[in-house]
Amino acid sequence: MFLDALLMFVSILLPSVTGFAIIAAMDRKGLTNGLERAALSFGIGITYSFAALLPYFAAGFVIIAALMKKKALFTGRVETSPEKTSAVEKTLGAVFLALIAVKLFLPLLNVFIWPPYFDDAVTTWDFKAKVIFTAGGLGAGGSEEFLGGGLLNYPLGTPLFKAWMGIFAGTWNTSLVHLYDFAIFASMTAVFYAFLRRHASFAIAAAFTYVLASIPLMSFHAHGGHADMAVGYYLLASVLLLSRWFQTGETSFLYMTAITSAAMTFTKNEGLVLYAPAIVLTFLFLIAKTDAPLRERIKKIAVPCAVFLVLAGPWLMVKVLYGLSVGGGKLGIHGEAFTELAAVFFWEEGAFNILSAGTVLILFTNLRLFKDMTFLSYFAPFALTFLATLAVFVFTSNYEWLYLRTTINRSFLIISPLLVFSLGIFTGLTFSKEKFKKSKRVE
Amino acid sequence: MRKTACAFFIAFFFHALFFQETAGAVLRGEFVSTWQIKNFSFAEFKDKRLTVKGLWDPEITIPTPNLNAADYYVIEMRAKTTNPMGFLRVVWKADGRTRFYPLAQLPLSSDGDFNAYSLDLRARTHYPGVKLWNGEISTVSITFFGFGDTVEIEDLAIKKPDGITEKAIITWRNFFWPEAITPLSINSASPPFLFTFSYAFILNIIAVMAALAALAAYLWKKREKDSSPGEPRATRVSAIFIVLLLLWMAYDLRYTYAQALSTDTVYKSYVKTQDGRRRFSNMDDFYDFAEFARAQLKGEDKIFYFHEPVERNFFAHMKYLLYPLKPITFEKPGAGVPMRSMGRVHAVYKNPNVRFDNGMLYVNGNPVAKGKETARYDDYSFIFREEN
Repeated sequence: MFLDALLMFVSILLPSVTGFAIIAAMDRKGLTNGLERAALSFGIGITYSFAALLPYFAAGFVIIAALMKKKALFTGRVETSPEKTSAVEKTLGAVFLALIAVKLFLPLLNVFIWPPYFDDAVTTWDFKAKVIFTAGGLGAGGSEEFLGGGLLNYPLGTPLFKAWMGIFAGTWNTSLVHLYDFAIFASMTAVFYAFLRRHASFAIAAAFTYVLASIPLMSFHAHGGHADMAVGYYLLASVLLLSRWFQTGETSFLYMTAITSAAMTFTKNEGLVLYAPAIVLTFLFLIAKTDAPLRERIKKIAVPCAVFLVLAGPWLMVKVLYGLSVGGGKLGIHGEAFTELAAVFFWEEGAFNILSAGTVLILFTNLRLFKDMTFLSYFAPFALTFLATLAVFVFTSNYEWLYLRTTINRSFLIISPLLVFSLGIFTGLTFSKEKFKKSKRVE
Repeated sequence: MRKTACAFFIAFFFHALFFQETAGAVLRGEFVSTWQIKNFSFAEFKDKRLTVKGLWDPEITIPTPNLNAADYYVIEMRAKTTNPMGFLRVVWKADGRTRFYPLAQLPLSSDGDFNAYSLDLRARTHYPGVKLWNGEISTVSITFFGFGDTVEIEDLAIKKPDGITEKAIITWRNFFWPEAITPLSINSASPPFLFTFSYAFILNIIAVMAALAALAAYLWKKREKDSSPGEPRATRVSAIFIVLLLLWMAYDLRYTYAQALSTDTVYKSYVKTQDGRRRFSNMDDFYDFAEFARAQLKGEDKIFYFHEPVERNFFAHMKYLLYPLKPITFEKPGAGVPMRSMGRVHAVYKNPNVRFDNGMLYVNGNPVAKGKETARYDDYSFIFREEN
């Protein structure tokens, strides 16, 4: 068990190291600091694994490191909130960090002591991974092993990485493969804190990171074997990187957005149908707000699109070639959904603590901020994904799942990190003495 | 005037909470005579103690003619179970409905001693103020999850709590009981209840009231024009932010407690077990059985029949855990599978409808195959190999 755990930990560490190197290689100007690079490294690194280059993690890191100056690999320009941290803030921040540690510890413990239990994990995500692990590949078309068996239209990002963990450890451990879920949870928490810290004080960044980590439903998804949190992580990372591009004008952030967006579409079908369009629309909105000439704008759109297509293209082609659906449902209007949604958001469910009411109340305190482009660069994609999610339950036969409460909370779990981050930025902006510190565009 | 209003409000609040009409307990000590027990292999009522050993999940159905839900709303039970991760589920029929209606779930203690439980059935609402435990209750059904486990019940009553202390104790206990782990835990997390309101709803209301108070204070200050421009917004946001954060933490504190308790239960029932059987929620010791079956099945048994427990669906779990071995259901043998590769082996897990007797396998009383039992797991679980 200990050796299996160690090997699986290393199987997570390897792509993380490669991811770290990839970010450092792309961010030549050092606009990301060490914490941000480390936080993003796992997400970026496993995207690399989707390109079927699993055995080359270590080699990739060495080559990239050799091409770069050692210093540039590990350092970036450290920029944090302009406010000085007082002793009280330091204490409060430390308390929140301790609470975050508790929130990380319990799911980690559960990875080791829980058996595979939840339905979607054993029927789809873990099952496909085990089939790929056992078959040593994706199987021939028409065979039982093809694309991991089971439901063929489900994206393979999560099963492929779990299969890689098993291959690296040399065994299939039904509990320990859920270290992947924990790694996603921990990465998401770290990315959230690292990016928010740039714009908010230590205490506020730690407080909102604690809020994210303590969303009740998150505790099961951090070790339960579902892919909802993973797609939520990629959505969050994509929006954060896109917003950083808008703030800095640095193209490398667009490439990274393309990478994480491709990973998102390869994690769950919702990533392709609901969230990728929201990111594209936000991108178009932000690019329209820049003062670059038209030719430059077209170039800015074309290059990340190409990166996205290179990474997501193979899976999209498989979808087209084999006629794999992306889900859906019969169209229709279900007005009664709004009553159910109100019950879910405000009184009947405990999956999100008081996030719904808290959001409304916080946002109403400073309506002027809705004119702030930096805030909007985070909030607009949330609003779009929120509306897209609502539309699924209000205008399609998926209303049934809202009524049964099987998917509604999971759907909102995916976009909740983005919402909490928007609230964190909102609060940071309001508190900030210098209003908001936009990273200076690199000349 | 303000003091009088406050005093009136407090008095009204406490009156509403505690000073309702009281009545004695009902149904206590009437085991067996009026109650129906299902899905058991052994049931005995002796010395005012009901002992039930489950065949699968034993279910006690209590007829409750003319039971007024407004008066009687607490299930009180003193029991012990041999299942370290067991839980009970309560469903009921109300107002002449023919089907059973909402459910309340409660994890049972795993310490092996008699424990007292008080479950407030009003704490299951669909909308604030709309109680599902309402009107006249005609039947209450209690299911204990756990195959083959024994539940000993000393006391089981549907009652109306008496006095302030009892009501406070029941509310306190209900608030802190963790949610049972079920397959639906990944989809939603039910909030705890305080009286008939969900904790999430109460905190939301407090948050809204705090925001309104902040708004009122802001408007009052603005009217007096004694604040510097720019300051009020940050102050307002900071006040609301702090209140919301405290409310969030109040919810999270209780949730973390339940989370830790749940983790501890999993550890004791699945990892560090007292009897060596690893049991997990409604799966019971299925994971041990899967290992047992894997050890018994040979390389040529790539496809085998899996007879799963009654009213349960473990098929997907079996398929995943034993892959590349492939379970098929006995009801549809050969569906999409060539005859020559169909199963010759039957893995039976806690299914009393499938039994081996005198060289023959019987399913629902019908002989289906000749062969021999190659390994036995427990009374209702075994491996059977067909012979030509």
